[in-house]
Amino acid sequence: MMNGASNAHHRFCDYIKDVVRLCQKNRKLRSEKMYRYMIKRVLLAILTVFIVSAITFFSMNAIPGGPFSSEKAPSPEVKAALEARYNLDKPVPEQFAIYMGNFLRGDMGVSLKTGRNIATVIGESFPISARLGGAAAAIATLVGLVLGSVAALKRNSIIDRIIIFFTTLATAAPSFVLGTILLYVFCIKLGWAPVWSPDNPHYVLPVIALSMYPMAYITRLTKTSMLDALGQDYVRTANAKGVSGVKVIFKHALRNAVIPVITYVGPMTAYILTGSLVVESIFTIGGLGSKFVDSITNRDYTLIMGTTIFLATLMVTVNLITDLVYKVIDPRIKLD
Amino acid sequence: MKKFTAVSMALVLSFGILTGCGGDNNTSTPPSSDNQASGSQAAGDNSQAAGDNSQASGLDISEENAVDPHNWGTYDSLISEIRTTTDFVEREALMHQAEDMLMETGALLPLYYYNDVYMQKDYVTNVYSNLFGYKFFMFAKTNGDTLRLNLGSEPDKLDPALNSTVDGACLAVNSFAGLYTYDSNGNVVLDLAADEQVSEDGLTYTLPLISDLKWSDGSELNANDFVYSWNRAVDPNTGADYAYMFDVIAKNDDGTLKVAASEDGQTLTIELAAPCAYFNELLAFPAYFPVKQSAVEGAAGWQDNAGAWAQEAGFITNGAYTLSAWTHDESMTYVKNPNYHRADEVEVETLQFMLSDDDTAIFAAYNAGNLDFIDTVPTDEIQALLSNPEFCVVDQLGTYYVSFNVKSPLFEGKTNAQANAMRRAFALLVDRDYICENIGQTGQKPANTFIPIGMADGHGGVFKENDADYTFVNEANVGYFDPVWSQDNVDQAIALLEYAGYKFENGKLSAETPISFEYLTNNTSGHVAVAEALQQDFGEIGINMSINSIDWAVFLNERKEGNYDIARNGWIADFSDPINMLEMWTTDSGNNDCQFGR
Repeated sequence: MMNGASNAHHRFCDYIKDVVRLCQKNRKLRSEKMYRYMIKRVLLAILTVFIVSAITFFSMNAIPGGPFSSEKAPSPEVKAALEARYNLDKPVPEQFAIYMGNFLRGDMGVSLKTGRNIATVIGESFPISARLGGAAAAIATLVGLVLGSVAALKRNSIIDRIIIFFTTLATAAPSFVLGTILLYVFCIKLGWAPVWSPDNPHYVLPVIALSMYPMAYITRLTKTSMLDALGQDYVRTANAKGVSGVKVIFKHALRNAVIPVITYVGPMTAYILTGSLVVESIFTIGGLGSKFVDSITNRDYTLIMGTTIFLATLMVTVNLITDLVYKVIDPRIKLD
Repeated sequence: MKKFTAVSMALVLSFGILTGCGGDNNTSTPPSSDNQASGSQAAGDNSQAAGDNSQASGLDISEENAVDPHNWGTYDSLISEIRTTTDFVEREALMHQAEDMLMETGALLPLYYYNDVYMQKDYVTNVYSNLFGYKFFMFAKTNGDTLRLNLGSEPDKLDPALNSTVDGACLAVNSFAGLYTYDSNGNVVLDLAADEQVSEDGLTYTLPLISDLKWSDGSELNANDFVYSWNRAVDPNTGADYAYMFDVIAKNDDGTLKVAASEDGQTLTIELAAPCAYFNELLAFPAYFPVKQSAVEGAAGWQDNAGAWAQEAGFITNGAYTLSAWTHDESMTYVKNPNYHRADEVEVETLQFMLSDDDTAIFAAYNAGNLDFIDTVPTDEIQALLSNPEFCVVDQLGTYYVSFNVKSPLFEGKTNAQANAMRRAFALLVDRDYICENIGQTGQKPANTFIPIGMADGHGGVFKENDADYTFVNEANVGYFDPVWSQDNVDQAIALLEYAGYKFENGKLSAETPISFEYLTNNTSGHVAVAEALQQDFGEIGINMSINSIDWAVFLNERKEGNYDIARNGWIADFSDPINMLEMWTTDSGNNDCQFGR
């Protein structure tokens, strides 16, 4: 008996060791897989940014007009000196090679319009847009998830209808209309905030103007996918097993319903962080949003490249993070 | 002089057609947008008879003497002659001759003379502007010690030598000071110069400076600073758009300017290439303001980036204010410079600028009491503001016009005289009052010359004026045609088009000889509205004009390259002398959008 028991014990220990070994191997495999996945994604991201840079560079050089065109033309000598300084007198592929070489050395050049350093321009204006955009994205996501869930849970009730009415309105109203209305009501009629102040810029109204559309969109998205999740077997099973209502909603329904929302929130965040031309213009905010449009209008080649590469990098990073978040929320999703 | 008289006579004869019905037109009522259609209907009914009349009166157009816009050497020589003529009366005559040549080609179709609008609160006084749109705030009075303003969005460059915008010039005149400036009456007056001595031949200017001049950091400013600043501005490596403004100054063999400071630094001596009637105005122009060498060359990378020293707040100036804070794309704060030579006259301690070009936001900020002065108002608000005492309209020296590409296929197969006549015909079809009243809205004056009203003639008078030496071809209207729309103008236009080979039936262009072309404009609503008004005016006699409104940078490029038939155009003068608007049409000029001589 003793022997038999001892053998059984040994077998059990071996079994446990095997299991532990397997687990370790599996974990190692998984972490290796994760590592390989990350390397692949980062390399792909770099390639994507490079391709975006190349397409932008050649496109902007293909469209008519140049950075030194103005209603009153400078003398040919001055124009020639400026073009030589910024290598614009060289063939476009050579210009691209020079630009990328400088870029890899950390030199994004200076704005051809203002002479200001591009890294400084982006470094100064991005935090402003990001602060506004971050607040707007957070508000849009949180409020959108709550309103969407409430609308789904109280389907066809008066609350649902009110929520859908306002979200439809917010989806349909362009931000310049919303911004102008906010300006008119709160700054001119009620006088709660100045339209413009050099000392005390106010961010409440621009955040509202920025967050309304994504909030409405997230609300509708959440409602649709929540309704879908609530009808699934696992929710019915959880309810049948007597799991509490709150737990069913948060652990089972919402966790699954949030996947499509994340797909939207990722790129939305990247866009909203890099600013909005319209909202920044209405509220006189020196963010990054206007730089995208102005740089193209001015044919400010270095600023076009700087902002484009910056947005492209942000976008691929956010996409990568989004994919990783998928995996955390739903382990069934395979990274490959 | 004989040559001038002969050419003038030929031109007067050529333009005879345009003057024929001028007298009657003074009493014609300008059609409004509502009655324009009925007026045009009348045109259709009467044109045949009118056409017969003009044929009966005869189009006195000379094929041989017609100005050839493709062979432009005469014009180029004329401009060179104007630049070197020492007799300013004769110089004016030559400038009239140059404008006559331009207008005979018909390639410039003047629409209206610019004016400028701004709004200021009733508690703000003593702000003044000049004909070039510069606003002077340093002697303003307000109900506190701060003036809050909007002139536009983020300025491109604050270095006065590199600036090329009007709002940038406003910032320059309030933060820098030159040898001359403008007073509240718009006159050029001495500023940093204590006196002016000009040699008898008009070529040497000796300007003693007022004593104890200082930069904003308290260091000494003297004549050497001007020598440095001007030579810097003309150096192509500096990249100043306005480098050509120094062309009037003679140059040394090494390309530097013939400008010298006296040993004690108190006197500046300038040698000109030729006598210059408007040199004092140039001395008041921002590109002529001094910049401090040690500040310019103390900025990192200044050799490749000339304006680097003035890209953030705190740079050294010599004017009424210095920039103390700059939140890019949001606000700028200028504070009084205690070292400014007229600091005791400056009452407002701080200027705060809202940096925005969003008309709605700017107007809202003004109405909410966050701004005391704004330089723009939304177009939709203009009608309601016309009776508002805070709304100010001031003259501006410039012309809004339309330019023809003389190389357009539209004129292929025509003789020079025919192509010129055809282009001139378009100018007679335009209802300028409609454009001024409904699109411009701020009392712009209809234009019948390229050189605008108010431009000086270089010897004490104004250029757009009939006098003993020169009479405009349309004497009654002091210009090249009657700018007020009338049936007579339309009849004259039809006669000119018939001369150019087009057939008309009942006042409408015959299907046998259609005219069809494209109007190029940038996509700003006001410019497109002008294009639509012209489209309607030309359409009244059957001319088919399509409108192509495109992005600003593409527009500039296409117009400069001559890839168009007819395009909107405009010029605000840099100084009050016609040469500023005549020299842009020389064959090699970068502004020769009409492609003369090419």
